[in-house]
Amino acid sequence: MIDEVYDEYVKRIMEYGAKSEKVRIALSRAIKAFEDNRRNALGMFPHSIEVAKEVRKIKEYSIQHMDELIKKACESIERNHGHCYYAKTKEEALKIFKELVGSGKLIVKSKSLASEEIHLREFLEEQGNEVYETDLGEFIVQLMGTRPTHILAPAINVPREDVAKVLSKFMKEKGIITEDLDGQDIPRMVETVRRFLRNKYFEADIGINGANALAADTGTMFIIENEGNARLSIGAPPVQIAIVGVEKIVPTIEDAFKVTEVTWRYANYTVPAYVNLVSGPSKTGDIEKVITYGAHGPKELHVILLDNGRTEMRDAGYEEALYCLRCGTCLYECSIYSVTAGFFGQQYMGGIGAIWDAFTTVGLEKASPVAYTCVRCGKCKTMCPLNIDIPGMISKLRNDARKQGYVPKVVRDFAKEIEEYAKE
Amino acid sequence: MRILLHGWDTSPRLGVPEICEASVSILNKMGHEYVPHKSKAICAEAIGFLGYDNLVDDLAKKMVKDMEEAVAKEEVDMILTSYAAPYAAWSKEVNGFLYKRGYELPVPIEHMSTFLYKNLDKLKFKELPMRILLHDGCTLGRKYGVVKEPREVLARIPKLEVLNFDHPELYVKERNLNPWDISACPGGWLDFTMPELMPYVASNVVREYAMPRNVDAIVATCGNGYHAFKAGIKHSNFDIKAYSYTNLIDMALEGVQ
Repeated sequence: MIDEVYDEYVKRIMEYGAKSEKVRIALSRAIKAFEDNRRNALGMFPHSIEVAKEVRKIKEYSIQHMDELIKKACESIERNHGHCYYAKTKEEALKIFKELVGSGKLIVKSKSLASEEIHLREFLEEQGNEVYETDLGEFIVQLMGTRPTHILAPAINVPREDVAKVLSKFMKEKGIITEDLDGQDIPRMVETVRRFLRNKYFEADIGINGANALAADTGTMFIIENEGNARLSIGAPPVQIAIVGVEKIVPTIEDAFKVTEVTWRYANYTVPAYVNLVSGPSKTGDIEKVITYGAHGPKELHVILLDNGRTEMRDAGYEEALYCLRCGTCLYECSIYSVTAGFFGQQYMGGIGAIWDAFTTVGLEKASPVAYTCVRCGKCKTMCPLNIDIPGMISKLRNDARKQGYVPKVVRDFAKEIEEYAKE
Repeated sequence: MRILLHGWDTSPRLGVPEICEASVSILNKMGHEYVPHKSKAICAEAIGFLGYDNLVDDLAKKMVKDMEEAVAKEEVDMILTSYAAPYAAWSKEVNGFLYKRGYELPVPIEHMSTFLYKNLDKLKFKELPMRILLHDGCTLGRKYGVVKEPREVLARIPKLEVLNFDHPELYVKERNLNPWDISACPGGWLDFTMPELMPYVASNVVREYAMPRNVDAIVATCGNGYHAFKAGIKHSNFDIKAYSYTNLIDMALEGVQ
């Protein structure tokens, strides 16, 4: 079985990743831009390098005390008149969504890795809802019927010329444009998507978002973005549902500020266009100080805290993987990712993605080939703002895979040769 | 001195013939005797990285035994390698993984760069009018910090211009990162896990980091890195050379004073 899994994975990573000149060119352009932007961001705000060390400690504490922080965060959200749910598994999370959403709804969704992890959009569509990804990259990926290939820039592997083609086809069908978009005119592509999605925010029944951090003491979610789509998805529809991985919970709102600042700085922004802070549903006390919910923004806020393997990941000794801020640095710095994009991974990506895939999405057998794609060169660890020991965890994951019989043949054969030599 | 060439430097399965030949040539020029050690041995640390921690101790014991026998039979004074991993695993000087684990080879092990560095004052180089990009092996440079030795030796070669992996420079400065911290891996280890991917990864590193800097060659301090660069250059038909550190030294070394 592992050999079939490995062969299928190798075929995919080679055909869609390594052998694709388009992927290489798109990544080359994107990585250069990322490096320039990050250099500017850290040059302008060099204190972030020191704050990152504090954030490492915050994450260490938070993952160690995850259980009590989940309880505290839920209490805070409920205190703010939000509704909090804990989903131990993907199935539990989807059941909660099914009960909250039902069918026949128009939904606008901003980017969320937790939602990708549980295939939320596809699930809600199956339930008979109309769902739009509103992050531009995610929207492109949705139209292409593929999956994100970078955690920050989901369509990073798609060159502008291909984006123009897919947008032209869809937007002409929807009557937004009459002629094909120019493959070099990126502003016009962006404008076209804006025109299409603009009204959807206000027509939507529900907005769905993720979060970069959640402060347990105040129940405040921090959502970093640049496009303004998260702000609209959060603010315009009458119901807001958030899905947040439990590893995102930190003790205090001050901690959450530090976590998000380091995240956006290493994600190559001097400052993002928006940092949304959401603690509860919309409210007003302007008439005789009587608090009334549902003033201009959502009347309801539901926060689903997703575990889905995170506790197991921690307890199995992979706690450092849970420190990940999703800044994307390790991917941009990885030689393998540079030629394979998100095809180096199953659902999550890169070396750290192998650990996430093993515990939260496809399981250890399918994560094994990803672990064996990593060369453990250690550049990701050096460049990671939190110095997460990805190579160390990859070795551990390979050993765990070996114990379960999930080692690819090419490695098994080599190990057999070595074992025989050792016994001579 | 009588010097034992480590298994990786002589094994047809693992080694690269031109590195073996260059090692022999260097030792000849320096007036040392050499003994090839034709075993399948790799460093035991590497088998652990591949997911076989259960074999590490058995392999380490076997290698120590093999080396003890070879040293006793051949009366060698040291072991030499052009690969990063064996040196880093066994070296007492860098407190290598296996040394820390309680294993010790009967005689010292040196990487070609550390060996030459210790003999630096005796080495006689001819001019080598080339501009090269130096790639520190991931294990040797980033992990174990063996970076001064290869550079000091290269600095003695007349007309050789050595460039570092120092792009992007500002970023390096702000985080106190060094060229060996940020050098991009050409994927040498993929040879053991996903060989079909290796040339694509290596050629992209050459394309992104070496070609824009107009160098004549990319030079890797680890045999695995060199092996990958060579495959990558061939794969993409690039007009640039790859050399192992050992091969480059052999090209310039005239002998000893």
